[in-house]
Parts: sequence; C-alpha cells; structure tokens
Amino acid sequence: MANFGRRDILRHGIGIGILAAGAGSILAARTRLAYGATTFEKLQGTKSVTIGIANEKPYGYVETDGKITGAIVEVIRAVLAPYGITDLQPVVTNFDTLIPGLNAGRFDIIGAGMYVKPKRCEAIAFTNPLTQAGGAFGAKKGNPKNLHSLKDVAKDPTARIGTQTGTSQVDEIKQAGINPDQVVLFSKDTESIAGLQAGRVDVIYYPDLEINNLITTTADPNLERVAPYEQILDAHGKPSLNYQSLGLRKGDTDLVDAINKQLAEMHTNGKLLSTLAPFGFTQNEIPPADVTAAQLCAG
Amino acid sequence: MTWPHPFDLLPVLLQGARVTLEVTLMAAGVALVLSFVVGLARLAPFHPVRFLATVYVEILRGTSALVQLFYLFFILPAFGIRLDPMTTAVIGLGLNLSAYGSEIVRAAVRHVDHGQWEASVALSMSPALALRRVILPQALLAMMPPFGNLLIELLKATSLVSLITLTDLTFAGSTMVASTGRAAQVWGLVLLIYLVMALPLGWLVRRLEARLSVYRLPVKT
Repeated sequence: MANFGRRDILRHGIGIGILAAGAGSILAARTRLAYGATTFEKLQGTKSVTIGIANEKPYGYVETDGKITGAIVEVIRAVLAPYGITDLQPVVTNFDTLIPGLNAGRFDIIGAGMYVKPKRCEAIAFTNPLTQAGGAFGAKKGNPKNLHSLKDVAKDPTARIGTQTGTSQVDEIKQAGINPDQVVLFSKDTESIAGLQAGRVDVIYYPDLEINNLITTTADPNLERVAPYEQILDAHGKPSLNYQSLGLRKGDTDLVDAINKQLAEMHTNGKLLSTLAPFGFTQNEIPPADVTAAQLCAG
Repeated sequence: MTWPHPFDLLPVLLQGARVTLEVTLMAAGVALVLSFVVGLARLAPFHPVRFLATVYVEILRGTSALVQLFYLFFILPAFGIRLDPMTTAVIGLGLNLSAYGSEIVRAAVRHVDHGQWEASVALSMSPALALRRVILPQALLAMMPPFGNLLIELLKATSLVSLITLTDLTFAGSTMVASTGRAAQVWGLVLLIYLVMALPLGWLVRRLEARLSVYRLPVKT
C-alpha cells in the first residue's frame, strides 16, 4: 500500500464515496425517524415523560422533600405504565402558562387538573375526563357577608370575590353577571387564601376539592368552606359540573387514544377511584364513563 | 435529621436561592459586556451605529422584562429556536439590564471633562488608546454606584424567571407555601435570604469603587 497507482486512488475514491453516501443516507434515515416519530413513540423510546404542573393541591404538587405527587399526577403514572413510560419529569409553572408551555414543547402533558372547556379545545387536545368537580367558596369563619352562590355575590355590590387568572372560574364569575369591580384575580391559589386572610376579598372561588385542600393546608381556624353552597345551574336546571382531563398537543392523537384506552379500563376495574381516593376524591368526583372530551369540547 | 420550625423550610429555599444567585451572576456578566458595547456604540462617531444602539436601548428598556422572557421562552420555539430555561433567563435578563447599563456607561464617559480628550490628542494618542488609558479609568469610577444599584435590582428581578419554569428563591417560597401553608414563616425567610445575598453584592461594588478611586482627579481649586 506504499505507493498508490492512479487506479488505486480511483478505487479507494469510489469506496469512500459509497461509504459517504451510505453514511449520509443512514443519517438522513435517522433524522427522518427523529422527525417522523410521534410524541407517543418518542416517550416509549425514552420511557420518560415531562409533565407540566401548577403546584396545586390536590392535583399536582411538590412535597416538602422535593417529590412530585398529586391526584392527576398519579393517574398519569397509572395510564402510562402499561406502555413502559415510567419516569415522570415534572415542570412546575404558573397555571396560566401551562397551555403556552405545552404548545412550545416545554412538556408533553398538562397534569394540573385542567377543566375541559371549548375555548381551551381550540388550543390543545384533551383526554376523556378523569374527574368531575363542582365549585366551592372559601370564606372567613361564619361567612360574614352570607354568600352561598355566585348569584349572591352578583346581588351584593359590596362583596368581593377572589379567584385565579387563567382558570375557568374567571369565566363562570363573568357569566354569573358579577361586576368586574368586585373580582380580584390572584396568580396562585395560595395567594387567594392569603388575600382572604388579609380581608382583600370576602370569598374565594375554586373547585371544591381545591378549597378543601387550601383550607386544610393553611390550617387557619378563622377560615371555612362555605356550606351550603349552591352550584351554577345548566340550561336544564341541573347543577353544571366541570370535568378535568389531561391536556396534550393537538397533533398527538395516538397518545390521546392510548391514554383514553387505559382510562376506560381504569373506569371499569375501579382503579381510577382507588388512585384518586388518597387525595380526597370519592365516587361523587368520578365522571360517568360515557362522558367524552369530544362532547365537552362541543360545549 | 429534621430541623425545628421554621428552619425545616431552608433546604428547599436554599436550592431556590442557588438558582437565583446563578442567574444573577451570569446575567450580570452578559449585561456588563453588552452595556459597554452598546454604551460606547451610542457615543460612536458614525450615525448608523448610534441609531442602532439607540433603538436597542429604547426597545429593551421600553418593554416589560416579563413579556420579553415570555417571548423568548414560549414564542421562539415556534420559530425553531429552543433555549433551555437557564439560558433563556440569563440572555433575557442580561439583554434587559444591558439597556439600563449602557446608559450608565454612556453618561459616565460623557461626564469625563472634554479637556481630557483634547490633552490625549495633544499627546498624539489614538482615540482608542485615549479611551482605554485616560477616559475609561475615570469613567469606571463614576459607573460604580449606579452599577451597584443595577446589580441588586437584577438580584430581585430574577424572581421573574419562575414564569419560564425555573425554581428560583421566590418560586421555591411559593412552592413551600402551597405544601405547608406557613406563609408568614416562608416569606419571612425568603426576605432574609434575599437580604443576605444582596449585602455582599453591595459590599463588593463598594470595594471595587475604592480600588478605582486611585483614578480620581484632585479636586480643582
């Protein structure tokens, strides 16, 4: 091999050429694979999923020791385990940046107990519902302004109601005809509680289980969950409930289908309730199995 | 080992404090370099350079830092540019602060007596040499107090980064409030930790100022 003739060079040249072309096409094929793979396929490949949470009890939150848990988080764990996806990586962010974060690819699933609402369905896809929830008021002990429904707040112009930006409670307050001057928006549920303690609002309005958790965690004897509380009524005069689902990107239909399949199974074998029960959920909070995201998105 | 209240909150809060300090120091580095580049560009003898620098300052100073971070983090990925949270924070806050910093640089350089430039020319120094050896040493001294202000402002502005999923000190505090409900204790500790971080930064800038004071001209009589 000491001295190459022209022919050798030519031969080697062809060899290198073929090699290069081969490497090139392998690379191209790999890139195609990487771009062509759906989120679901990618998650199965890495066995890991990134979930966006808003650090709210009981849905998805960080424990004092830094561990991630919560009702919705545990359901995600249960529905993805059969597909070999067992590593849950949390991204903690504000509730109102969950949808932009999902669409920017900062995480793959919203695990914050988000209600399925037609407006949100325009931006993201939802799985079938995990839970159903009514609203509830938190107030100072004895409920000094005697507020038991959104209607009561609308009737009393001196009453002030607090809730959180980006949540569907904001829309419900608006639809109840409450004057915007009476509404105080906080960026976190814990800030709403602080606002209530400080007398900046008379009631705070959140999903019922979130109110329970806020009041338990705060452990302030001067606060209470308002009872009785009258739910908003739908067009048929029945209490209108909200349904919480996992939020996914619109394109990830195979992931939505895969999760729905597992959810249906958890419905039948009762595992949905047993997963949610440690976080204070009861049979009342389990939605009927025939309620689908498509119905809820249609409004 | 479990610490007595309220010190059991410290491990999580200190982790947040570390993120806050990292973002502060790195963003301060970015801001310092850009402050000089842009500040001197605003004094450049060429109109287009001055114009571009002015546009840079007015846009970054005139829009909200929070919205700038939102844009970098949530909108840029749609254009194929995906920065990780830490990089976004350092670049975002660094760019924002440099708009203020460049004004400090510009003002301090302009403040040096024009006679100093003339004297340098008389000694046949090139403008670059004059800037480096005569003007900047005096200007640096004048920059120190406002730069110190800005650095401490930055330390506190880092609380904005929770928007882009970084768990800084403020966000760690809000996490602890959510899981323990002990708001008064948590926010009390957070205040203290910010103070403990800000004091050495202030001291550092004062030390630098003392070092630079050898360039102070004797008071004219």
